[in-house]
Amino acid sequence: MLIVGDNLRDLCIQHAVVSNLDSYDITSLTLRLNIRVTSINTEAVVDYGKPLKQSWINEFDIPEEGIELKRNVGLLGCSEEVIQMPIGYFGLVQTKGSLARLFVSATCNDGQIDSGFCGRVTFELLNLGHLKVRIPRLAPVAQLFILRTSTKNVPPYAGRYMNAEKPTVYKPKLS
Amino acid sequence: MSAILLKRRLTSSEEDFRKSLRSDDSRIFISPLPETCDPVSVDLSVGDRIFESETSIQRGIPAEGITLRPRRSIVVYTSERVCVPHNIFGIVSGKGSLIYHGVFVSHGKIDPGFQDNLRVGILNGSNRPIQIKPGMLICSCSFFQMDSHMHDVSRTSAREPVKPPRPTIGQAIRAFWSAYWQWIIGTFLAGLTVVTRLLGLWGR
Repeated sequence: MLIVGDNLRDLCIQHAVVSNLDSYDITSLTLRLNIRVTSINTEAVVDYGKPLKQSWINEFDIPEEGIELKRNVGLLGCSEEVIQMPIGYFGLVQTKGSLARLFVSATCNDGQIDSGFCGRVTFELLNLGHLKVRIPRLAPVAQLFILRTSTKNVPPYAGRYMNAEKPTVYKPKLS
Repeated sequence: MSAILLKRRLTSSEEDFRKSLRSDDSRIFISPLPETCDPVSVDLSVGDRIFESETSIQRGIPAEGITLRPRRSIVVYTSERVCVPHNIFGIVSGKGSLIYHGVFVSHGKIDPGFQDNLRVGILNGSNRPIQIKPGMLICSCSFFQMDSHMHDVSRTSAREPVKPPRPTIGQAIRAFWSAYWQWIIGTFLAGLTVVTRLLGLWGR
C-alpha cells in the first residue's frame, strides 16, 4: 500500500522519515541533489565483485553554476535530505519526471530503501540522451515513495550503505 | 480492515499519540497502560466511578467495592483512559471468565477519534449478589486498522448511557418477587407458625 496524503505527512513527523518536511508532496517525498558528488574515472576494466581502486574515485562539490552531464556520462550524487525509513515501511526512489524528460536518470535500478535504513540516498545520475544537461545544486532530481510492508517483524537494514553522509561508491560484499 | 498487533502501537504518551493522529502508523493511547497485554487485545479494569441506571447518577466506588444485586445492572467507567486515532476502530467485549459467575458485560465499539474512559455495562444474571471492585478486569479491547483515515472526525467522548425505561407495575412486582421470594416465603411461614401457636394457646 502506497502511503499518501496526511498519512504520509504525519508518518514523516512521527518517525522523522525525512530531515526536511518541505519534501512532502502528497504522494511522495521530493529529494534534492546534495552539493557533494563523486565521479569514477578509469580506462581499466572494473571487475564486478572486487573493490574499486581509491585512485579512480574523485569526490568534489558541484560548482555554483551546476554540474554538467555530458552524453553517456555517469556520476554519483546523493540526496540533500537524510532519510530514516521506519520499520514496517519500504521506500522506492524514482527519477523526477522533469529530469527524465531530458533523458537523465537519477537511479539505475529504481532505488530501494529498506526498513531501518538511515542516511542520504545515493543517486546514479546518468545522461542517457543526446543533450548536454546542466543540473544546479539542490535541484529536485528524485522522489521517494513509501510503501507499507506486510509485517514489521523483519530485521532492520544494517548493511554497507547505512548512515551514508555522501554518495556511496560501489562496495563489494565481503565474503 | 485488519486487527492491529498492539506491541508497537500502544502508547501512554499524549505527545506520541497527538503526533501520529493521522499517520499510517498511528498510536493508540491507553493510560495507565496495563503491564501486560495480549498480542491483539488489551484488558481494561473497573475504575472508581459508576453510573447508576436506577437513579441516573454517577457515584464513586469505594475501595472495598460495591454489591450488585441479582438481576441488576450498572454502568462502570474503566480506570484506563482510551484515545483512538482517526484510522483505527475498536471493539469492546466482556472478559470471558466473568460468565462463570453469571455476569454479563455489554459489548461496545470505539469510534475513530474517541478520547475518554470507556463506559461498560454489567448485568448480574446470577441469583447471588456480586462485588464489583476497582481494578477488577472487566473487558477486553481489540483494534482494527481502517482502509482509510476519517477526515471529519471530531474529538468524541463516551455518550451518557441511555436511561432504562421506567418499569410497569407488573414488571416491578415480578422483579421484586424474583429478588425477594425466599425472604417473603420464609417470613410468611414464620408468621403462619406464630399465628398457629397463638391460636393453639388461645384455644386452651
